[in-house]
Amino acid sequence: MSTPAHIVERLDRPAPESWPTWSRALRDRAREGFLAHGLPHSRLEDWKYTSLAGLADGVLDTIGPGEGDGASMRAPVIEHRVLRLEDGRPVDSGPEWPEGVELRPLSEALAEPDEALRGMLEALNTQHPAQAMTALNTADLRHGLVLRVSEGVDAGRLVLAWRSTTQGAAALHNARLLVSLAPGARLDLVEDFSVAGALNVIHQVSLGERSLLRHARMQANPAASWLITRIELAQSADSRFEHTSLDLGLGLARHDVRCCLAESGARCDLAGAYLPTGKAHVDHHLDVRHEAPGCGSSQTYRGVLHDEGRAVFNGRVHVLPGADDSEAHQSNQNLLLSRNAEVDTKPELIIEADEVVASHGATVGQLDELAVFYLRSRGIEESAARRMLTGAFCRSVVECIEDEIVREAFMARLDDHLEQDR
Amino acid sequence: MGPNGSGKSTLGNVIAGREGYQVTKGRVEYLGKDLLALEPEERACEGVFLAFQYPVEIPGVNNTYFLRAALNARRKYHGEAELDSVGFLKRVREKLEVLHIGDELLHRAVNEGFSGGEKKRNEIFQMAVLEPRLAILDETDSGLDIDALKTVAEGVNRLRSPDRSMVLVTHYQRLLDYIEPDHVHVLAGGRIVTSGGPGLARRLEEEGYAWLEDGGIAEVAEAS
Repeated sequence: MSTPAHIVERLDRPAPESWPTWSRALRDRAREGFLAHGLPHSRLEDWKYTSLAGLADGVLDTIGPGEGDGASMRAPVIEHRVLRLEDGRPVDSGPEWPEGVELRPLSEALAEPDEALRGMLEALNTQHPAQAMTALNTADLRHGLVLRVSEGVDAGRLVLAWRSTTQGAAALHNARLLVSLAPGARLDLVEDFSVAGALNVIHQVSLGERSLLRHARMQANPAASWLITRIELAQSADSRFEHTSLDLGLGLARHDVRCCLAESGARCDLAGAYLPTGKAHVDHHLDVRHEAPGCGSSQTYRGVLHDEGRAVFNGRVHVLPGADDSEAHQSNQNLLLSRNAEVDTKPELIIEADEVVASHGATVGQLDELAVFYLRSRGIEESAARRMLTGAFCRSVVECIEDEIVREAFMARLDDHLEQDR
Repeated sequence: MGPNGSGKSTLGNVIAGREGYQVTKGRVEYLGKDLLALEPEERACEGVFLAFQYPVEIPGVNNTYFLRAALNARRKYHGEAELDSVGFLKRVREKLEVLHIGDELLHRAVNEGFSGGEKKRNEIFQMAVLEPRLAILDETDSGLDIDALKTVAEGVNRLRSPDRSMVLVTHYQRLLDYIEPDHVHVLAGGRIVTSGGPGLARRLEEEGYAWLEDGGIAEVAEAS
C-alpha cells in the first residue's frame, strides 16, 4: 500500500517558475493537507461505501507504461466540436469559438495575473480528510482548462473527450476545469470519459444571472480504473444547471456534485443513470444547498445493478434558513438484478425554511414480473423482455437531455451497453 | 360466464402461461400441440393472445416499439423476415383505421397513464396487429362506459373470422348485446357446468347463477 508521501512523491512536479507565488502556496498547502490525511477511507462518513484502497495498491504500484487496453482509441460520443484530453492534459485547442468565448489551458492562464481565477482556485477546502482527493488535485494543479463565456453569448457545444495513454510514470492524473458563464450566457458541455488508470477531475463552475449550463457526462471506463469527479457550482439569480450523468464503465467512479443556489430563482436539475456490471462501482454524492428564496432543485437517479455491481447514492438537499418558497425533489430508484449486487442509498433532506415543497424517495427492487409476463404474452422472449424493461427504466433519465443530438448520442451508447449486456 | 371465483381468469392465465399457477390435472391441446409445455412467448407466437383484465402499464416502453418487437418476434419464430419500420407502420395504420383508433396511441408508452377504456382499446389494437388464432379476452368489458364498450365490441366483431377463435370472459349480458356469441359456457367451481347458445346468457342475466345450483348443474351433468 502506498503511503501519502509515496503518492505525492510519484505525482510531484514543481510548478513552473512563471506561476505566481499564490498558486505555489496553494499547491504547497494542499500538499500538506493530503500528507496529513492520505487517501479517503471508509471510516469517513462520505467514503463509507467507496474504498480507494485499490487505487493506492493498483494504480500507483502496478500500472505502468504501455498497459493501456485500447480505451483511449474509442471515438468520442459526439464527433463534432471535440477537444481531446489525454491523461488529463488538453492535447488540442478544440473547436472554433464565437466572439465572447475564451478557452485556454489552465497552465497558460495561471502564468498571467487573474484575480477571478485566483478567487475560484483558492475557494476549495483542501484541509478536510474527506476532501483529500481535492487536496491531491490541488497539490498537482497544472493541467486543465479555463472557459469563460461573455454576457449574453451562446457558446454552443463543447465535447471533452477524456482519454488515457498510460505512458506516464504514475497513472494517476489530475485535471481542473474552471467554467464561468457571465449573465445570460449559455454553454452545452458534453464529457465523454474512456480512461484507464486513475483520473481525478474537479470542475469549478460559476453561473451568472440567467445563464444556462447544460452538462451531459458519460463514462465507459475499463475495469481497474478509478474516475473521481467533483463539480463545485455557484449559481446566481435565475441561472440554471442541467446535469445528466451516464455511467456504463467497469471500474470505480465516484462523482461529487455540490450546487450552491446562492440567489433567488436559481435552479439545478441533476440526473443520472448507472449500470454497473462485473465488479463496477458507482458512487454519487450530491449536495444541493438552497441559500436563497425561490430556488428549485431536482435529483433523479436510476440504477440497474448486475453481477457484483455496487452503487452508492447519497443525495443531500439542504434548505437553509431564509430560503423560503423553495422546491426540492429527489428520487433514487434501483433495480437489483443479482444476488451479489449491492446498493446503498441515502436521501437526506434538511429543511430550515418555510413554505418549502419537497419530496424524496428511494427504492431498491426487482423488475415487475407482471410486466415481464405481459411482454412475453405478446411473443417477446424473456431475455429480450427483461432487457426492454431495464432499458426503459434508465432510458427515462437520458430522455431528459434537452439537446436532441446529445440525447440521441447518449441513448445510442446506452442501447449498445444494454445489447452487450447478457 | 360464471360467478365470481369460478375460475374464468385462472383458465385464461393458465392458457397464456402466467406464472403462479400449477396445473395439477388435465392437459391443453392446441392445434395439435401440448400448449402447457410451451413458454408464454412460444404460445403467443403459436397464436395465443390474452387480453388482460388489468393491462400492465410499462413506463418508458413506447407502444410502437413494443408492438414491432412483438410482431417481429412472431415472424422470426415462423421463419419470416422481420418487418422494417415502413412495413410495420403501414400495417399498424391499417389496423388503427379499421378500429377507429387515433394514432396518438402509437406515441405513448405502453398503457402508461391510460384510462380504463384506453387500456382495453389498446388490448384490442394489439390483438388486431398480432392476428392471433386464439384470443382470450378477460373481462375486457369491465369498467367501460357505453361508448368504450361499443368500440371494444366493434373491434372484436371486425376481427371475427373462421380461422380465429375468441373466448370472451364476462359477467354481463351487456357485452353480448354488441357481440353475438356462437356458444355460451358457464364455468362454476372450475368446471363447465352448462353450455348453450346466446339465450343462455340472457337467462343468466335475468335469473343469476342461482338456478344452476338448484339442479341446473345436475341437469347438465345428466345430459352430458
